[in-house]
Amino acid sequence: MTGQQALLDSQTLAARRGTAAGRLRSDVAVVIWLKGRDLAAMTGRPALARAGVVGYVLAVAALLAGASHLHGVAPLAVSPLGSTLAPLWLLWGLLPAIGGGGGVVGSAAALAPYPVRPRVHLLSSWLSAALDLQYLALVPALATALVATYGPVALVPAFGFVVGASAIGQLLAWALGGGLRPARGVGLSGTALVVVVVAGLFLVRGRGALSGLGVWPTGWLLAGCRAGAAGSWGPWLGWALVCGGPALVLLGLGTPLVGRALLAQAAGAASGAGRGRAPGRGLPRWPGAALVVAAIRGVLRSVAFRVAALMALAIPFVATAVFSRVSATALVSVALISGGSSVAANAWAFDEGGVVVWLSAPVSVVRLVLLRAAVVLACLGVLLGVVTAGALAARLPLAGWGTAGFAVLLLLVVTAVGLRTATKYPAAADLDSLRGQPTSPWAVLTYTVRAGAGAALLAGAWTVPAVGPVLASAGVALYCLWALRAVVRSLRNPVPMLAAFAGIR
Amino acid sequence: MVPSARGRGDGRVWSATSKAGVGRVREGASTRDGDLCSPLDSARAVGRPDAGRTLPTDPTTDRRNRGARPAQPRFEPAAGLALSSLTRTFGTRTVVNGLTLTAGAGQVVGLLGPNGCGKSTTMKMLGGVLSATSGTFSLHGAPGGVGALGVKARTGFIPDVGGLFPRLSAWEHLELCARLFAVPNWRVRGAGLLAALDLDNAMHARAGEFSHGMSRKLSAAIALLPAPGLLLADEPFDGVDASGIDALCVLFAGAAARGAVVLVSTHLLGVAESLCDQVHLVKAGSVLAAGSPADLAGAGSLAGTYQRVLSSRQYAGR
Repeated sequence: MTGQQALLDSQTLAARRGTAAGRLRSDVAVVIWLKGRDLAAMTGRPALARAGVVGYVLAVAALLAGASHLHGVAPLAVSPLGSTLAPLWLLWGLLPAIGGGGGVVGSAAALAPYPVRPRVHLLSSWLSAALDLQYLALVPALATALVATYGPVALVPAFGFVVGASAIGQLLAWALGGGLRPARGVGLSGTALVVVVVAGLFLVRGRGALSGLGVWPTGWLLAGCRAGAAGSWGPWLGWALVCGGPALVLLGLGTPLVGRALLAQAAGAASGAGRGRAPGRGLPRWPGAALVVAAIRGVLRSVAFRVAALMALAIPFVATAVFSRVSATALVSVALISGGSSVAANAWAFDEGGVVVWLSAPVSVVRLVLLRAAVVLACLGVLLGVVTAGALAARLPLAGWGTAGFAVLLLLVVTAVGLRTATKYPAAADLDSLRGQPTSPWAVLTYTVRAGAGAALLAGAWTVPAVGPVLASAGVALYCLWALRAVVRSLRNPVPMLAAFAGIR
Repeated sequence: MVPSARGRGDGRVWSATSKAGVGRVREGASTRDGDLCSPLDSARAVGRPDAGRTLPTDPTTDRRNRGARPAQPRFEPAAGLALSSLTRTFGTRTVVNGLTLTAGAGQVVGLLGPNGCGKSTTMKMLGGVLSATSGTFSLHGAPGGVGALGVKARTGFIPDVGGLFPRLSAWEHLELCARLFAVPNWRVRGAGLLAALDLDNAMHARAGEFSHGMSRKLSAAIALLPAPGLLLADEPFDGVDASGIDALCVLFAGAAARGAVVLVSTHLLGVAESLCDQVHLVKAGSVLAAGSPADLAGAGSLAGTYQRVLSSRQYAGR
């Protein structure tokens, strides 16, 4: 009996752990302990992690209390709530599958050597997903808006909605993990599948292909909230249960799905791959160009980049399917910021151990940073090209030179922001969980806030007549200089970077 | 198989016996001709299937001829590696504590010590990856460091971990190295090194698909390709099979024979005893004892001295 089979055999471990309730308690305790250690490791200081958790809980409680008070005084009327909820539901439901994230890959890899039941894998990945920034940041905002609109009774349907969406994400990720070729990566296969489905939907139904999302998942949530606000407790509970229904499905089907995925992953490890691979093209003679081309080659060959490219391709389709009107500037911003979270903010992670080659190469640190920036720019440029192709296929109207200028400047901003984040918070993990290992929340926050603010400022400045582009260009140039200078300073003492990649051979 | 040739002046030479093209080093054989004993030539020699042939050697640097040199070559600061009070701290923790050592051109120097004693940190400082908190080092009189590109251009570095791009092939690694270090005729040299290290069948496989031992050997091939003046090998034998260890020893000895300073850290005391001319026993970032393996071993073995020195009360407080 192999280790994998042993862990799938519930009897093997069951006999040693007493009752079913005891085993469940034990499993939950293991998962909570593991996640606690993860959180402590992310911040580097357990006390800081504890303070962060307490602060977060207090802040969320204060937000909800404020929203409840606001509802008591004058209920908020948030008209676009339905249209906001649909993309959220899509995000939570699809991201674990299309990135291989949501803790699925990380959980399976980290726990593989240990004799743990599939249920622990499932709980671990589910909890990992819930602790990701996409939940930590968005759930309080959603809950606050709902409470301010419908009162505290909206919390129960909202909980069902979030749990249901995340359960769909887990179901999809584990099902793809067991059903598709694990050697190619769950992320790549899952993303390809989702892109094909979304593109197919678009081709069949055209614009507004996913407008139904405003009816069945989000419509149920709003119906539940309205029922609660009207005091109809039966429909209120019913709609909440309907929203959270996928979680019940996950509890029923999850364990066999996880077991199947684990076995597939254990069996899918390719051996001796690449032996017959054709030689790559030569590198340029100039040392700097050789470094850049080698690094670009490494990025383009990675599963993470290919997933990012597929996601970039899907962005125009999803945008046109969900929203009735999409501006070219918004499309470019979303594509570059999300692509940058894969490529720019993980700039060094693609090289992994090769970072030592960069640092020990007879090239000055300033030049190294400029070369790395060129790598990031080139790869982001590829993503931008993919988005443009997707936009053309989705028949989105693309503006002319104005948008091109905005795109170039935003490309520079995202490169600088990403490189700064990648150097200050180096991690073998991914900023956007594409490899299933979420990096520290600080890195995600830093990147998201800076890139988002940069895009907003740029878009604002861009609209100023006559001097707008000049002002924007000057601002971008100054910011890039400042950011790259900070990267150079960080690289002069690369201890965090070496430590981040020390575990990689 | 641990090579058994000893340091200079003992009249023994490196030689290769091979069954499948991979070098196995034995002592006592004599050389047949007086060709250059560069890493590449060593590689070529060990890569050939003519079992039992000895490596070609350089009359000026042949280990056999080192009888002309003193067993411990007279150190000239301008012609070799000199570390002066090299110190590195991480926060309040001092990992390398005033390390001072000298190594002449053509010497193989071993850094031995327990885990966490500062060997890898020292290597990273010498490789220009980490800056020193205080102290200096120089190669052939030129000061080294993170910004010393001239010294970096003459340094080959085999890091303890990393050093490889997971999605580049072995051949692409060599090409990148050749471009960075402007290595002439790198294809021939690279093919020879890969053959010597039994990686020629996997030259187009990506490094991410390599086993640990293969990764170590590829790191060594990359470091040796530019024929560096300073070769830093941080635990190069870790995970490498026996014949691979032999091949690496031959290549390191060849580099030293060409005049390079070879600094090797390892936990394989037998290999260090055979390979190194000087050995430094390091604990808590300081050198506790140094000398030739024979001197340190005395009547016993190097392993015995290692255990005795590192566990002695005299150094307990370090």
